[in-house]
Amino acid sequence: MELQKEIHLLREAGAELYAVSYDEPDALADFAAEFGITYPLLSDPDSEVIRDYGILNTLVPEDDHPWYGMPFPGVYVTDSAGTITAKFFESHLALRPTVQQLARAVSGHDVASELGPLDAPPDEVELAVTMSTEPLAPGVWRDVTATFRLPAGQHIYGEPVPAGMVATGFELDEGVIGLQPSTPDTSLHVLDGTGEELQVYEGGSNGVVRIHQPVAMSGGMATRDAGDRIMTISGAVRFQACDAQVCGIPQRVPFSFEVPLGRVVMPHPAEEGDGTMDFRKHFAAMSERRTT
Amino acid sequence: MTLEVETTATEGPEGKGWVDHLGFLGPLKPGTGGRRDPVGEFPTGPNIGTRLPDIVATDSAGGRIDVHADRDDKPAVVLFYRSAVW
Repeated sequence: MELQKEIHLLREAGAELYAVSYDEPDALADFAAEFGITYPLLSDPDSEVIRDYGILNTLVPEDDHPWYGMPFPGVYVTDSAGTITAKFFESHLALRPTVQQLARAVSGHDVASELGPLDAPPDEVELAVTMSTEPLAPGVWRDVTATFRLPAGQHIYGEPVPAGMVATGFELDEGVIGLQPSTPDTSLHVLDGTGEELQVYEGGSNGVVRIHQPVAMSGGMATRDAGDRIMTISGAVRFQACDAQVCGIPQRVPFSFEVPLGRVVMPHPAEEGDGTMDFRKHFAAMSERRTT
Repeated sequence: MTLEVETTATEGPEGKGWVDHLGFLGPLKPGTGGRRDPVGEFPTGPNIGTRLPDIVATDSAGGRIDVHADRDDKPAVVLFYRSAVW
């Protein structure tokens, strides 16, 4: 459902979206109608496609129905020739990539934020930390984005950094889990005196460096505050800016976003939609198909 | 690759449901039903750089879709998920 809400990001990037599961076509028809799904939901009830892809979940015993036949879930992104250019698979099967991550994988850049004409570079590093505060369900990833504007001639650091220096990155508070951040390419700087090699972000022609940290709320956050359905996604961005001669002191900039909770329990579609889909009927049909 | 299932589980609040190792609450106990997360490495299918294997399947409208033909030379995002029903 979250994918449907933000599908325009993928379409703007020029991609077509497809979803494959081992549900029956009629169950998918009910689901599409209930939740207003506008992309193809493909039915693979004998798990032929799932097997062909090599992602059948073999941790499920073959006689455990209807569970046997489900995949290790994940996403493939291709280019216009149909060659796979990115994959997103997590060992926690309820976790999924952000739509922003998928759109970036399709187009190779930030779809949702083309920067307008820029002012003169600032005198000191400017940092804006942003995140959408639309309702977020546990298990759904969303980006927290750090956008730096660097003064002329200054840079910030990527990993690895020498002892005593601070690389650019996120710290996340308890209850917030993070995936590998997506970062721009670094340039190599070699220090004149020591020959030490540093990986730096210079921000290209406009001095802007943007780092996306995918975050998700752990279910623990939701269960602790079950009565209060606004959750806090918080942490801090750390960085250190230097020019060719001098380094600034390391900075730690806290952030905190109030995000309404989408759901408390693991995602189940029965709590949204207009309530006409008969999940029990479809679940029984899936089980029967496999045991008769 | 030896596949192992994640079974870390604590009872949910008021004895309802089960909380897994990342703190997610669900009705099923981790290691059972559809809650079969792998521990460590697990197969993720075709590699980056290879052609997306053909998918020809029936969609929710009852039509037959061939993903490579249907996408009409546009990039594709193909999601494999567990179920729309459970």
